[in-house]
Amino acid sequence: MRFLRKILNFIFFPFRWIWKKILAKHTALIEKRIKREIEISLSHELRTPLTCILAYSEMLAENVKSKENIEAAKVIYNKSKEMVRLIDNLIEISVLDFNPQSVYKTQINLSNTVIAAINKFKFFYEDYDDFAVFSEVELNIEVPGNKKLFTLMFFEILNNAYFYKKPSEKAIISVSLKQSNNHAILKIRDNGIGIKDKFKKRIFERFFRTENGDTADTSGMGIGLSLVKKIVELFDGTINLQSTWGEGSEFTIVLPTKKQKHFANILRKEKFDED
Amino acid sequence: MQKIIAVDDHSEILNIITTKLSRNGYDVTPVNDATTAIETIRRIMPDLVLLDIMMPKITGFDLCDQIKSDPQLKDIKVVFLTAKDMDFTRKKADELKADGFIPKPFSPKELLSFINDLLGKTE
Repeated sequence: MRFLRKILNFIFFPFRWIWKKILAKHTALIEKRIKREIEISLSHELRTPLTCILAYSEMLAENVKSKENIEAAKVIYNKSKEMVRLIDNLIEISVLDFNPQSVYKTQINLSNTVIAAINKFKFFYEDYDDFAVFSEVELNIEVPGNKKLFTLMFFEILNNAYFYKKPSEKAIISVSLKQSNNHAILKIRDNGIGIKDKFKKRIFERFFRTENGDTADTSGMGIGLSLVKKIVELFDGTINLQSTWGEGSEFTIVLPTKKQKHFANILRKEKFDED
Repeated sequence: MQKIIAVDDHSEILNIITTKLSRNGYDVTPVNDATTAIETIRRIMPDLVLLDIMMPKITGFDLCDQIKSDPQLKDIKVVFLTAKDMDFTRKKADELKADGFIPKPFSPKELLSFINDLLGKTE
């Protein structure tokens, strides 16, 4: 009997193995679809009410008369902008975690994207005068990338420089972009509080924040820089940090300007109806 | 006065668009029910249509397709105003020859400046 069972096991083993594989693939596909549905509804359901808060507070600030009310409307406006940023980062990081193949990769003008991110940053903090951004951008550098993700990535580094500025000083942020051989090199330098050596290795970890004593009254979830690293790596780039505690930090991002071989195959053609 | 039709199933958002653009010299018609939008567009013949994407019964993409494939309407500018800001929605908007894509949440100031640029109006 035992012998017969062994023979049967031996005969059916390949079928069981194939069945398990099919089942696992099917479950993974269902999970992926559910996660994608969650991303889409999160994105829609959170953004719609925020549109009302953000837009009405902006219009209120333009129309109220008393100084106190203007201040109140501006606080609502600025805090809701901050909330939008955090939600966007959470959504993007979940897309990159669960569905990186849904990210479109095309040839983009990196120079224009960097300039757009600087403008977005200036507009985001238009009510504040405690920072200055200087830029030296070589024009028309093209790289394989994603305009939306790259704008978000550069914005997050600028934001990081501003968040970790010295409390009593103006944040001076310098941005330079140039092309060298087959690479685009972007450097973002600041005069902020810098990062202690013991934290440098962990700075790109998700949810990692330096100890309370080192932060300059910052808020956030520790997602920004991990998102930046994920985006850089998705496009075959590298990111490096040089920082001196008390003097400031410099992030260097290097991106290939030539299309990598595997890029051509991962463009996904999705139909809206299918989603 | 340049005419704009805004189509969105959220009346608060229509209210924001109408208030901001009317105060700045545009004749704005809000449309809450997307199924009646195409009739309103044919009747008013606006310079620009602002379209939400996810609406009951008919999507903004369907409406854009109807506008851009109709010889009488094809020159009307179409701008998507949507919370569905994803790569494939932007790509679909490009394919449908939309003239703009503004993700929600949007700033009314930015919306006005975008429309001024698109319609060649100086502030």
